[in-house]
Amino acid sequence: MTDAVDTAARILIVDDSSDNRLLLQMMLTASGYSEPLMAGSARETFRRLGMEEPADPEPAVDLILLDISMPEMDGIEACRRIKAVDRLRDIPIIMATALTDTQFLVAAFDAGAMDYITKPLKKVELLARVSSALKLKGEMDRRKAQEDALRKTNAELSHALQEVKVLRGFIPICMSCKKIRDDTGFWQQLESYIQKHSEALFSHGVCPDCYQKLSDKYLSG
Amino acid sequence: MTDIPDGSESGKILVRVDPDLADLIPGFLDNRRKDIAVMQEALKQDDFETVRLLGHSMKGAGGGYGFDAITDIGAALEEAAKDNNPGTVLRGLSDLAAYLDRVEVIHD
Repeated sequence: MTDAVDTAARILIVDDSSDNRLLLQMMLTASGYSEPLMAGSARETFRRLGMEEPADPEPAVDLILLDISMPEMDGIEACRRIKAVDRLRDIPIIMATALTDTQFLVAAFDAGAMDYITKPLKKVELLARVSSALKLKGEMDRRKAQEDALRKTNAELSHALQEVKVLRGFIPICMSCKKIRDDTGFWQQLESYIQKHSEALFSHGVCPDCYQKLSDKYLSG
Repeated sequence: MTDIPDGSESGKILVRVDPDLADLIPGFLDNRRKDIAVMQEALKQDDFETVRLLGHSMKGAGGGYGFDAITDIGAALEEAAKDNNPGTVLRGLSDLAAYLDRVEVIHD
């Protein structure tokens, strides 16, 4: 895990108070983070994230700072809905709240929040929690990429194994003509059967004993 | 951030704020003046919910900008609104107006 913080990360600030949005924006950009995205309500957030029409064609979001107390739909319900969407599930959400009642925090964590900050905001605390969440998100993304690569390799190996032809078990063979009975009950020439069930190829020739027998049968006076 | 009464006869309240926030401060204080007008109007209509929401918002934002007193006044307004107590709301609005008149910002 690297200690570098991704200051180019896309952070979405959600707060119904423009004063709070501006404050968060200023604290982040003054510390080197790129210009954050902003939303003033849960509905606007859903549009930003492409959950509702008309969806905004915004780039992927790496972190959401979500106010708990908002009119119409509060941050806890918004968090729950975001986490219910597969492609958004791994975006860390930090809840921001002026509420000190622990029942809201328990509900926020139950809804899928990763962390919380309390208002009034303290720059040092905000930056520490944002940095920590982004590092964790980076690590999760790397592990997810590794898992995807492993899954792909595994699928390729499984496919390759299916291509490998192996002969094993009891094979019914005619004791006289040496034909082999296949799974459908059809009697095949030995070489046809082996070619079909292995990577072996045959080159045809005549052994000395057979040559002698054939000569005696067809060439002798 | 701490409010620093300067003790001068002018009665100014000096507040040190983060220089990064300098551009935002005038807008923030103007919004609080607008809040007073909105809450006064809401109070006339017994609309305590509006007072509660604005008080809550002030409580959350004030200290972040460096104005701890605004956070305290916001908390008091929120509680008064929850209790449907117009007298305490009016006192909070008066405190806020007085504070906004006296506050002076210092950028470190």
